[in-house]
Amino acid sequence: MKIRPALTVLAGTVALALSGCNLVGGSPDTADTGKVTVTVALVPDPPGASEFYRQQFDEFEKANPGIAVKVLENPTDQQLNAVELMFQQNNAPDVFRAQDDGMDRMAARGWVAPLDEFVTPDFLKRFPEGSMDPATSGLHRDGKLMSLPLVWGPWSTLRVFLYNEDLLKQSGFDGPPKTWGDLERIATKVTADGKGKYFGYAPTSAKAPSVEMLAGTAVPYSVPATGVDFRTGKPALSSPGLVEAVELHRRLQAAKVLMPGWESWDGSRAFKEFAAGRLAMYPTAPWHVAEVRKLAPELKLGVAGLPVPDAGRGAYLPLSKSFSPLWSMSAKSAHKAEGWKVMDFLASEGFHQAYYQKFGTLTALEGAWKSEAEKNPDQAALLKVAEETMRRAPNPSLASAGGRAMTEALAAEPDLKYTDAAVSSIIKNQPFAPAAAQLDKKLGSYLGQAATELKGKGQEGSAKDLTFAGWDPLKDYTPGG
Amino acid sequence: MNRLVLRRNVWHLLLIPLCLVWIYPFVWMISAAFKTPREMLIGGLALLPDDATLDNFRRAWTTAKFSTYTANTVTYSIAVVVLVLLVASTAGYALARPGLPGKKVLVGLLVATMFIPHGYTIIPTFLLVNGLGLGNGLLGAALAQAGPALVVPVLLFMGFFSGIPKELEEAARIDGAGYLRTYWKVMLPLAKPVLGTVALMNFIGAWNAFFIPLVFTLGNPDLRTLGVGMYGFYGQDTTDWTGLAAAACISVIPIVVVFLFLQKTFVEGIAGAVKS
Repeated sequence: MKIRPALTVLAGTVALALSGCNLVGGSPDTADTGKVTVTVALVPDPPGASEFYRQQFDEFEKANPGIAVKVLENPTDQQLNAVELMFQQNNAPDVFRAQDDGMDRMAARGWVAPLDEFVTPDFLKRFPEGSMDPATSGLHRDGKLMSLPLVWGPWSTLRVFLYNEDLLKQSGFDGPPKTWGDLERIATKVTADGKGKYFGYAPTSAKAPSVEMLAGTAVPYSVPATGVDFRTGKPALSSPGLVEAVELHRRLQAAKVLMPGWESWDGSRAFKEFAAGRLAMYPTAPWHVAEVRKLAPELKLGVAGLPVPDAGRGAYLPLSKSFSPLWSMSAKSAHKAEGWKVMDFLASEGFHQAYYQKFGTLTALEGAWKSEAEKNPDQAALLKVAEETMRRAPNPSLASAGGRAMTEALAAEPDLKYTDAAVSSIIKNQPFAPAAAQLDKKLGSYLGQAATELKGKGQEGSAKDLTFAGWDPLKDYTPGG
Repeated sequence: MNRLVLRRNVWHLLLIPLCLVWIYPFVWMISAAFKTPREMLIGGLALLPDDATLDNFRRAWTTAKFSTYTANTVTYSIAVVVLVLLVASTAGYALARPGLPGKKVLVGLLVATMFIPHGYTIIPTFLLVNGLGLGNGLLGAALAQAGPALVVPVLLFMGFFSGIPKELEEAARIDGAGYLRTYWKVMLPLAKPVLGTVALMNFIGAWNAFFIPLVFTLGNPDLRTLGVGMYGFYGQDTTDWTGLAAAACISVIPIVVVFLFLQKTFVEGIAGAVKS
């Protein structure tokens, strides 16, 4: 290597790089275009969303010539940290995506602006009737509207059962299992007929979420979700419905019916195996349907409700809030009026229609897609399953401050969840009931301890806040009713 | 002779499959970059795409902004290399002087810092860089990257300069050169192999860096480097694997090319530095 030419190249490149100004940084958006720049921090999700959002904001800018939208994309995993850092550096975005607990995390720091001053009755009419009620919307905190939704309310808690019609037919079955007993019988036969080329059933991913999904048809949703039965406010992991859901999987694993390797699957492996024709049935979240279709449009995919216990359904899937929070406005924004215009656009029928057409996701504004979705067999099946298997359920986080504090306290102790014990029981072929009883004991003492700690801090929160005595998980729940 | 050839061939027979196993993930990555998502996810392990596409590269380059990230990575990596060369060569030159007071303590301290994990120092480093007003550019991140990367280069330069005969420096002094001129005109040109090695090692390190660029560009996505930009292909529920493979090719190929061009210098530098 000759040092002089190398140094020359180096110096030239340094000069070139410096001219890009990214080395020392410049003052952002100094060019005076006469426009107000609204910064939107979002994540490129689902794949292809970057291009979609840019096209949509270009349309918005055409309709609003005084506003320029600057998109800041962050990786999904880093979005909340990145937005927090932007706030700490006094460089906060005007509008940002903070989903579910993420919105609460931002609101707790005083960074989320209430939207009530901008919302008009006409705006609220865009959403399904009653869905923007502060007590149940899921978007309000202390009566104030803190966020706007993107996806359809039931989307996040709906669970469906996918099956490959051809593989089931080859084993002599005309339809999906209706009960857990059917599931065990059909899965066993399909796996045997598959002779190692395909398998009857898999627990969806490494944490065996299928246990929670099936248990949701037997016991109140709160039992697998938090360990507590919201009818009594007491630990209930030993509930026969949950124990039997684990035992069913244990038997299937011991009999080598489950697809091998599920113990290391990530959240998207099941739909790949299903699309490749190596897996005949599994329970899942509704977004898997579109992913299977993308990979295998020719596959004869069936979408059904989850099988229920042989003794009959014990509970419906929960609709514990109308929507999940997604878009929030910065409390530090210097352009709130313009920021609201962007948010108004993100909650417009045009945007939701475009989003539905691009990604097939059912969005918060049902009017934007319902008639089209009813013509699409997969989406029509999802709507039917949602209608048949979901009911309104109590939500302590929305019901009271104490309920929110206790829910947060439970979420802070993942070791008290049944999941690891259930997976261990399935893999090691050991009975689940003793582990569940032990967890119930620990959970009981933790609930008492959490309530004492909250009291010590002068905050509300006890097992009472997790109790909804009149709730029947087989009926729609009405807050205060 | 025949036995030697035979032994060599046996070794080749054993090592070639090992090399193929070693190289397979890289070949697979390149192959996946030309496949459709459907073929990649459910099409098996075949390396040749049935229906080759450049769409993944287009998506990575324009939509996922890898054009910007590539420019940022070049800027960042060069800044790190310049900082390391400047500081390590001068520090190494000073530490190579026999009479330097506290030399052993300084070297000991330098070596001790190698054992402090980045995770423990990132917050004070971040605050320091922000306090210096360098949080809005890549220079701040480059300083944070170059700081801990200095120890080995300083030791390499120190070892090299210690091995140069004292008479050479004395001759320069007699000719009227000062301390800096001696360093710049006489000593540094002699250190070409070490310069090349240090430059290459740190260029590769900075190009592939993830943790520091991630932390320093979290609040400013326009400054992202390639390593951090790859994160953008991971969605909440799904990942754009073929886009990710194309992005990985864009990230890896320049550094492989740089290495292929400079590998001779790299090897000479390491050998030279060790010898001296």
